[in-house]
Amino acid sequence: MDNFIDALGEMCPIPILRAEKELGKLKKGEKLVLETDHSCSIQSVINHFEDKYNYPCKYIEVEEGIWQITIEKV
Amino acid sequence: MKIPSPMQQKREAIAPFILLLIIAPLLISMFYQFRHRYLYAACGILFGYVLQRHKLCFTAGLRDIFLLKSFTLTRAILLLLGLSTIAFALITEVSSKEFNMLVHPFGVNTLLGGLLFGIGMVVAGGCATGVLVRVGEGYQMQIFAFIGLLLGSLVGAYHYSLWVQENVKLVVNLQEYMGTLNALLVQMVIILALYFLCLYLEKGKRIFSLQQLKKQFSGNKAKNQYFKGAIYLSIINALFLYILLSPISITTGLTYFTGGIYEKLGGTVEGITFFDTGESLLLSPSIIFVFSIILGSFISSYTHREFRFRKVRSIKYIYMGMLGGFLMGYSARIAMGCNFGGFVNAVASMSLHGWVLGLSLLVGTFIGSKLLLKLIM
Repeated sequence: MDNFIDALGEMCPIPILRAEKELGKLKKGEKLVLETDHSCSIQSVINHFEDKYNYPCKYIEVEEGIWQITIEKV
Repeated sequence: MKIPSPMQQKREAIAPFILLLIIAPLLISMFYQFRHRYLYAACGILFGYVLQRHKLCFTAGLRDIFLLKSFTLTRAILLLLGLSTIAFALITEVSSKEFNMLVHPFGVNTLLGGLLFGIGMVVAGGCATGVLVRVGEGYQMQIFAFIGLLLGSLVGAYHYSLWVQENVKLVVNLQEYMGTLNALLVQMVIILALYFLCLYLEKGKRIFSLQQLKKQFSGNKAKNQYFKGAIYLSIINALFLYILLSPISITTGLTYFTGGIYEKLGGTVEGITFFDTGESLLLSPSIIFVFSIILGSFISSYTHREFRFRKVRSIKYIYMGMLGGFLMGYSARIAMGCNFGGFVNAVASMSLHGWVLGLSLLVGTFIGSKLLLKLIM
């Protein structure tokens, strides 16, 4: 089971900060799923982790206005 | 991935037609002397639409320098600043019309205002403009920030003369001071230098290789969204100035709105310099503009399946929204503008007070970022 962060209702930029903290604890090859309802998050989270860490990211829409972003630590 | 229902697909297909309906009269009005209130609504809707669609956020542009060491949005905002400066200079030079540019005096009020505004926008999770966009997307926190913003602007308007009339007299209009071309050159050199400084801080020495630089501007689709947004926003900014003869400002409309409501409730705004406009406050077209931003953001988020009512995770966010909003409303009045009317469009108007406000905003954002981590982490 992938590690999961529920960031619904969080203000910006808490989802990224929490994900960064959590990813620090994970081993290489493990994945983190971040669930967020913040519309800016998809762009900002993916930018942040793909650019700064080279972690591949992808996202799915769970419900209208809610997304799950999967970040893989490599 | 959830497959969108036919109804949802229909919604997405509708968006371009709505935009076309809004843009057409704007384009027509460029060629005729025609300044109807509708144009304020049209510009506001486009403005909100672009900000929501492209996730352009002024708060993140400054805040994430400190919290995430990210400079991408900062560069997008510098692009907006540069393009607007060029556009404003061209428009005011070429057109024979009389423009009402955002040139204001500066002093301690500007420094303190920028400081408080910077703190406020980080705590509220969005600047004045950002709060309007978030309200259109259904964020509960920013609905409260919006209320705080309105209240703060009313108190700020009452203190306006206290701060501004007595002590502040220094007006520097770079355009008059050194001529349009020189002022334009100086500003562009500063903006470009800041742009490359951000690029360097983000990428390190890689930026000196042409290949890497090319890669930077082609690859990342999500990143390019910000820059596209900045370009569209500059176009709207220029169009607004050209048609409606003064640059976009945000908090002026919000303050007139609160003043007008306060008057309707039996309060008196007589003798308050800021409200001394000679006409009914609630009829000011700047109010139409700001509320249209909310509508534009709603249209964008609803048609792209992003709208939902977003309840706060903790009650704390409601207080933070209110407090941050109040700080912004108050400080935007004493500094004579928010980050859009007081910084971006003031710089584009070539007024020195814009640069002063920008600097103190940066310091305020730094303090706000430290405060935010204390408050919620």
